[in-house]
Amino acid sequence: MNKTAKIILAAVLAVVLVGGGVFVGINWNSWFGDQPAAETAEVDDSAEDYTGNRDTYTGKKNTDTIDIPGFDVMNIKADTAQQSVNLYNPEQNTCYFKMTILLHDGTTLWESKLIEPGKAIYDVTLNQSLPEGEYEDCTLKYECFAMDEEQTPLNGSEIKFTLNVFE
Amino acid sequence: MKKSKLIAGAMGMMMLGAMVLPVHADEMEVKYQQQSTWIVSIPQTTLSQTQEVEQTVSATAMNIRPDEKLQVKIKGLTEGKVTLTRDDSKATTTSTVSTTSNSVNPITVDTVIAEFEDQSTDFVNGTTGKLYFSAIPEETKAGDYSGTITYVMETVKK
Repeated sequence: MNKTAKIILAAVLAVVLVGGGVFVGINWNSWFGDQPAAETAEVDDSAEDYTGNRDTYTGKKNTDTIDIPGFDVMNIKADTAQQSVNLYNPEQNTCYFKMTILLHDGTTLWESKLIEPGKAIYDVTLNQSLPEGEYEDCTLKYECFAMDEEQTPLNGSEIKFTLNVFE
Repeated sequence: MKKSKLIAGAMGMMMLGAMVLPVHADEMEVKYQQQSTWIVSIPQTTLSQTQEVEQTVSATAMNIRPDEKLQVKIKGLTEGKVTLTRDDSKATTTSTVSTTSNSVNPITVDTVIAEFEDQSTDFVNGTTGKLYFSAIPEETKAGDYSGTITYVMETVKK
C-alpha cells in the first residue's frame, strides 16, 4: 500500500473512531447510567385542539344552582388591548353569564355579552391597555340570567383576583 | 515510521478519551407556579316563602395554594336583609339572611359563609355554607317576589 493510501485510510479510520466516540459519549448515561432509557408512547390521534380548561361534565344540568369558576390570578400582556384569557360558562349551568372585569377603582376593563352554558371566551379586547405591574383587588363579576324570554336576573358572583401585567 | 506511530498512538489515545468521558449537562432549575382555581356552586335564586328557607353554597372543584384559603361572603344585603321585588316591580319585601336558623346570626359583609382549603371541597373552620332566609313579613302584598344576592369569593392568607 502506498503512502497516500495509508494516509487516506488513517484519516477515514480517525473520522470513524471520533464519530463513534462522540456517539458513545452522548449515549453513555442512557446505556450505562442509573436511569433506564425513556420509553416512547404512541401519539393519541383522537386528541383534539386545546380549548382551555374544562370541567368533567357528568351530564347532569344544574336546575337550581349555578357553578361559578374562580381563580386568584390572571396574567396579561402589557401595553396592548388584545389579550388571551380563559373565561367560560360551565356546561352544566342552565343560565347565561355576563362577565365583567373591573380594576380596583371600578374601571371596567372588559365586559362580555351573554355567554351560553358550555361556551368560553379565549380572546378579548380590553377597553384600555395597562402598563406592566401587579394590580390587586380586581374583580371578575358574574351576572347570571335565566334562559327565558325575560332573561330574569339570578344570583351572581364576584371573584376577587390579582391581575399580573407582564412585558 | 516512528513519527507516524507516534501520531497514530496519540490519535488512538484521543479516541479512547472521547469514548470513556461521560457527557455532562449543567443542572437547570425548573420552576412552575400553579394558580389557585375553584368551582363553587351557588343557589340560582332567592325566593320568598311563608316559612324559613334553607339554601347551601358548596364546592365542586377546589385547588388552593397551601398558604391560602378560599372564603365565600355575601354582598348586597342591607342590615342583614335581602330585598325581594314583586314580578310587576310594584312592591317589595325583605327577608333576613343568617347562617343559623331563626335569624339568630344575621349575615354582615364580613361573614364568611363558606371556607375551603387545599384540594378539598369540604367546609373548614366551622363554616357550613348554609344560608337561612326568614319567612317574609305577614303584611307583604300578594304576588311572586324574588331578589338576587352576589356571592363574593376571594383567596386570603391563612
